[in-house]
Amino acid sequence: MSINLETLTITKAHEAIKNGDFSVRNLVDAYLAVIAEKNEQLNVYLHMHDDIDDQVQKAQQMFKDGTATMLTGIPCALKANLMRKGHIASASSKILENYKATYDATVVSHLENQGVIFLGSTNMDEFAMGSSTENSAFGPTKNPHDITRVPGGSSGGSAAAVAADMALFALGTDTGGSIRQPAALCGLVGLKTTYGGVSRYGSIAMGSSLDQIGPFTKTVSDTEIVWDAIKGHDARDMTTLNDSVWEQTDTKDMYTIAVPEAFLDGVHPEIRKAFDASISKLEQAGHTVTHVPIPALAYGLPVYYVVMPAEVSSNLARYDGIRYGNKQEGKDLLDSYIKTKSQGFGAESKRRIMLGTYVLSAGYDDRFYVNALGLREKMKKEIYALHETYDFIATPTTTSPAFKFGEKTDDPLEMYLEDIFTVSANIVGTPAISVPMGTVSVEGKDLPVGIQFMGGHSKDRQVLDMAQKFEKL
Amino acid sequence: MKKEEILHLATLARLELTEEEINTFPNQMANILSFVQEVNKVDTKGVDIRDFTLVNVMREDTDPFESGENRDAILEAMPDTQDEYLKVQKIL
Repeated sequence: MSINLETLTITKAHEAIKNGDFSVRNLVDAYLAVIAEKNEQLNVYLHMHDDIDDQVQKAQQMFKDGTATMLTGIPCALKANLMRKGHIASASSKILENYKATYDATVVSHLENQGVIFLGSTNMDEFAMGSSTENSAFGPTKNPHDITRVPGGSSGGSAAAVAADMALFALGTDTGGSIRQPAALCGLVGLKTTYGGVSRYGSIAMGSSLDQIGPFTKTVSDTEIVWDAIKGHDARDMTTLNDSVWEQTDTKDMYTIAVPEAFLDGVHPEIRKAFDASISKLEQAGHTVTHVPIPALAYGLPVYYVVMPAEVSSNLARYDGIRYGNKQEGKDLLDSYIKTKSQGFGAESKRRIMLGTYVLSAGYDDRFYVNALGLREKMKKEIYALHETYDFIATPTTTSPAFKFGEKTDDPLEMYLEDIFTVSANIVGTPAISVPMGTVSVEGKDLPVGIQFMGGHSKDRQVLDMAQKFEKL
Repeated sequence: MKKEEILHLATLARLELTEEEINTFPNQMANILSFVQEVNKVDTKGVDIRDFTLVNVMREDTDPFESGENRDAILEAMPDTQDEYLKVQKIL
């Protein structure tokens, strides 16, 4: 039974299973075969889930009963910071190396109810901190388009899983660009929903005011299918939005798009070319593109690197070796804490915990944290006001195509700059999507790049519509 | 940043650093902090951070889980137990 996984979408797979062209078992086996062939080289999955056969049986039963949905039997990869009861959720950290989730994330329950097949958990930067998966305690993931290059991060394993046909879709988390940037570098669609769109219950927290869970797929319509399945109010995450916000669809035939020209300095020339060509296509299709200065975007990264480490230092304080996770016994309780954390966390986690500790320290908090919060509010006001006039802000998703391993590991600040275009959507809580805009040629390899559309608050449906229109151009 | 400052910060954060981290962190942290200084340069007058668009969200107080549902899994995850109790080192 040969299934062409490269061109397969969720919709096509669903039709094929329904028509009896292949079974859920065939489909899952096809993906497992690719995983067996490629995982050692690419380092995509950290753990395979041991109940795949049961999941397949359940999905097949749903087709028999007539209760199957579009996602029934569809193989999915889960980022290692998303909890599925009984399965290891390590967040690619040594401190959680053997930690088995004690409950299901809400997104996992939603998908499980629809009969999605969870294949396994994917590699990432430790606790989602990084843009290349090089901060994983279990080695980096390789970009399927060029194995000498990073897949992006932090959800690099999830992106590589879909790009290498080791899952039909994947879930990741996005705190400053961790879905959109790897989606761009691996040639996929990646959505960061409006803050509060998808429940964070059961995702291992990094920056709680910024984190959102979202899908990686090959097409925009697949992204929409997954997003519809995972979004919604959840009593277990009090930051989730009321379901009534999704009732308005307000899609339009033609959109208004703002391009922050001055903000695009320093973009790789080949990406700039691809972006300009994309913008021309949008204009030719009848959308209105306006070059607008958006000074607020320039504050995104500095605000992020104050607010995020502050939240990281609080969130990561829970890993003390007492209730769960790896423990290193010391001579007394304090010594045990110190040994557990010092041996359990990698360098980037330590750096961000210390940065957070610094910006929250007495005497510094007014200078850094309080100013950053003020600036965050200012950004919100300015960007929300901009969306009164323009439906979208368009930029490239990244400044450069996938970089080589080791290229940015010595200079954390340079790695942080990877998030320059993506981070503002997290700061102000608006939805943003990365859609493939072709490839650029670097050293004889064709590397995928992405365009990002940032939309108005809770206008995710409009963002998906824009992305779909662009995809068809 | 001086090495001593980094070591003090590590102590506050309950971390011990490796030799390599002690050597590389001062420069790296100084670069990052100088980059985020930007937040101190922008005029945020007129923006009141207490004037957040955030609101309190309340709900009825119910039992989130059936009592004991996750008990075994949670016990199993504990690094150190004795007779179904979490075991910690003495603090007094």
